[in-house]
Amino acid sequence: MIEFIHVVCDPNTPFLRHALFAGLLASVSFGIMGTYVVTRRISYIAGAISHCVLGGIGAAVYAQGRHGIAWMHPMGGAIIAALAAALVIGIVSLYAREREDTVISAVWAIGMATGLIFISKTPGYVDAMGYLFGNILLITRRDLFVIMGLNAVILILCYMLYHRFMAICFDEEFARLRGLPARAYYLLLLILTALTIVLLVRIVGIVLVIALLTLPAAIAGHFARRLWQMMLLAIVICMCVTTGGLAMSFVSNLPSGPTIIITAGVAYLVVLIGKKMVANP
Amino acid sequence: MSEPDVCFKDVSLDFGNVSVLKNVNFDIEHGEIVSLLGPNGGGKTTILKLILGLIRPTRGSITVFGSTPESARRSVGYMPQHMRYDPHFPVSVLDVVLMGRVDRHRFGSYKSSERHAALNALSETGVEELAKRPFSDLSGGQRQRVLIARALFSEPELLLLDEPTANVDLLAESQFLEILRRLNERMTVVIVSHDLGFVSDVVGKVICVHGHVVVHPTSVVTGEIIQDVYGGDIRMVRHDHSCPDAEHAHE
Repeated sequence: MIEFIHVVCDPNTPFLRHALFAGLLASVSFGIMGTYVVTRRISYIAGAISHCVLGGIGAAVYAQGRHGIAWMHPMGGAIIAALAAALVIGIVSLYAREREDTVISAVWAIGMATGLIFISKTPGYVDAMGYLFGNILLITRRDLFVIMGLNAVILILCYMLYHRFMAICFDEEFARLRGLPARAYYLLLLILTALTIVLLVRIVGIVLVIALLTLPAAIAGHFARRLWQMMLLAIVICMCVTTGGLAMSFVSNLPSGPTIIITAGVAYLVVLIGKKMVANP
Repeated sequence: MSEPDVCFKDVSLDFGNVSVLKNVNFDIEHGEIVSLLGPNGGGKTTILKLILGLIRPTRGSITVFGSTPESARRSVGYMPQHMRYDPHFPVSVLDVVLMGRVDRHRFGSYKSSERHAALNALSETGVEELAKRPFSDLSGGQRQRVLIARALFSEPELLLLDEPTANVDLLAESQFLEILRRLNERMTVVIVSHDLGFVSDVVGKVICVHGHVVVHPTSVVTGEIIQDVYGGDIRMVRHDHSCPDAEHAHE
């Protein structure tokens, strides 16, 4: 562990320092949006959005590799795919009579399949595993500024709309009866969730991002009595989990994304079992 | 004569091929306290949802305060029987009540005057001391009072209560009826209830709902009329709120 601290402080190894800062900064967005995802019970929707991101990344990589469209960055494709998935799932769940879980599963699978087909048809080697499971060690200085920008957007919006989002998540029907455009706020919540997922896919990847979005908030939910307390606690837990997971992956020479997720999963199980033991000694 | 607060004119509602309400006509005048009575699935909650504009009638017209239910919503307070919410949602009782004015609140925190008004609403329903408690810690009866306070905090002219008597224990009955009387001094109240014996002390009119609707003054509602609405045997329960030991009042 001492070695980890030394390497983080070493000016010649910025990658680990960037990784650490990325985890700490991303925890802000994860903690706030994760709290909404958990309390509004839309983690399945968030999972579908994250998997659809591969479709956008695949299409962008294909456009670059096959047709030489240089400006088509994978991150741009990911944002378009995530926003489209959020809107499609959101509108279907609000208005269509189709079973919501069926539509979510379909969007989830189609997004993933589209991405894999595009990647398989792209000339040259494309690191699909990097997108699926992320690599926090490849985070650049520019990525850190992007995460800071996302944090700023989420902090400002969630401060301004705190009571409205809380009303939508707690009792949507009542919020609608009070004249709030509840459906528009719900779609805004999904859009913010989609943006969080896209920008944080770099850290733990498409498959694992949902765990980091929900587990810290779920742990915080066991202790918090107010929504803002749950957000703050989720941010702190997420910071501990990403830092602890990163340190463990460095010390044990394990892949960072999965190690962070296992750390979060173990923490969640410990809290669950601990609370059960306290309740029934 | 002034316009009624609620007016149903030849209202019918079908869900697919199933007729839920057929040619329903009734008025609720300003300042009345009215009970909707009828069996499960008879259409009581559906009538509340029509008043709120959450569903639209297949035929006929509904006006609330002279306009459409949708545009009158902000003047209507509503306490649902069942709420679809996460039972572990981390929210305080005061925050739940403050949601009653979420439409008027712009950004950031609520002003202290609004918090004070929310506490007054809680005090009116007799649960001011619960303000700081998590909503998830409350009993069913306490939650209902908090939800009535949330409805009151929105300053309604018409209050709709869906089964407010479901979780009220006998000792709290007379207190609850007193709250209803006080509220009725400044607003029209509509109560959905199976328990006519409970609300008969305060209700002036009973709207019997079983697909169709028949309106009676409370004083003329007899066991036969209720039996006819429910379509079978019913249990008569006499509530005596004047009895000092309420536990023996339930016969």
